[in-house]
Amino acid sequence: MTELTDIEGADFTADDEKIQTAVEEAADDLGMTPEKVEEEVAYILDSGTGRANNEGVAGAAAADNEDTDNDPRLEALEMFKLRQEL
Amino acid sequence: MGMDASTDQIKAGRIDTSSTYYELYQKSVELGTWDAEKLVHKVGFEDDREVWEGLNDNEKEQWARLISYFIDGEQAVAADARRIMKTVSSPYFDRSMEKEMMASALALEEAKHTQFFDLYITNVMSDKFPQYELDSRRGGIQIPRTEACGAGEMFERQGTLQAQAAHGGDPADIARAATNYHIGVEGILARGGYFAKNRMMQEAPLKLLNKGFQFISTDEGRHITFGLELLQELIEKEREGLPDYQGVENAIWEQAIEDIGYITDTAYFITADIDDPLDVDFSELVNRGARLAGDMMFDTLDLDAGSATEFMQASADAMESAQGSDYDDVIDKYDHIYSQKMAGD
Ligand SMILES: [Fe+2]
Ligand SMILES: [Fe+2]
Repeated sequence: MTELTDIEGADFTADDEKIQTAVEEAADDLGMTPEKVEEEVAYILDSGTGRANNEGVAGAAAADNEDTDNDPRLEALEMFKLRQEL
Repeated sequence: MGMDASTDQIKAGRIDTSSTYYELYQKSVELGTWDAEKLVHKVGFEDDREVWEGLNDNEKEQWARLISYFIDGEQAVAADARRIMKTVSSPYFDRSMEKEMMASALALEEAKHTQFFDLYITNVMSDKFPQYELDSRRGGIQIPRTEACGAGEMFERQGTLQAQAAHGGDPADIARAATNYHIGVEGILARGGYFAKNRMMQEAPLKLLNKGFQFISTDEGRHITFGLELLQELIEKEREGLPDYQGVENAIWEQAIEDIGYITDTAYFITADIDDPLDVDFSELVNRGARLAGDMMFDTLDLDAGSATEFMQASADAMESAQGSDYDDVIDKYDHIYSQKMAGD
């Protein structure tokens, strides 16, 4: 599996530090380790290929999600948080 | 693809947990078991209904063309998933257990995708869908819009190819079926649909629909990786010179060329044919699809048969012929057949 910060092929607008903080907060809320959350978010984006090819998430969201600065990693993290409620 | 499995794995005996298929299966358990009913409860239909009611008829028609091929396509891939479960146990693959585990996850997910679109159409878009309730494989037919465009034909072709592969198919049959299903339907037709929905959402932000698409496209990503892994196994054996496997690469190439015709016709049907009210852009959509295809075939699979240039040419030719299509008569014809079948049931 690829590290979240090593994934290629998408426009990452947020800096890595912001991603790290968001991952840690989510991990805390979900009672998971940051490593596991990061692994899941990376897999959402690349399905194990090392390249962000998830058109439905790594493309644009519904009229831009202002909470995520349009960074696909944050969009995927939002999705993972919602997934944990489903 | 050389994917490393997770580092902190729990020991297992019979199952090869270092296998990519196992990784895909396990990630399907972790990410792909979302509950479609809970999703629609949690997000609700209200906001989407409001946006939907604010659209004009052309804009609604553009969504309806896209969603028609999604619900029919999801049902078709769900129905053929049973054949994939059979095909991956073929003696032409060295191991089957982890592949069967992954195929069973795929089957569940495709059923759920069908369910999501059924819920969505019923509760938001029903005014544009007088006909969508029939089971397209049990005496019913696909939605007239699907029947009219390349997607409808492609889903029927998929059933034939999957049946051939599952019933004692040789490696070339298996390769053809996997190319059509995982590269064509999931890797280009569906992903092209996500590209289109992203653009259409800019003017028509259907929030719940977008969430559904995000979950679905994440599931599809794993299915595509799965299909590419299967193809890679067959290609490796062909390259080792094993007689039974000769022709695999050619089969992949030929099927991809056939499918690009169906896919490009569908792209035209959902965009330029109705003057593209929500600004998807037919050529950009086709280019995106061709690039995704090129990545899968020439980057991931490193195919020797065919070339990216030839593929772009085939795609350009398909654009030319799609532009001559007229769908209205076909829609009318199937509209009539659909009504008869509904009345008969
Ligand atoms: Fe699906
Ligand atoms: Fe799929």
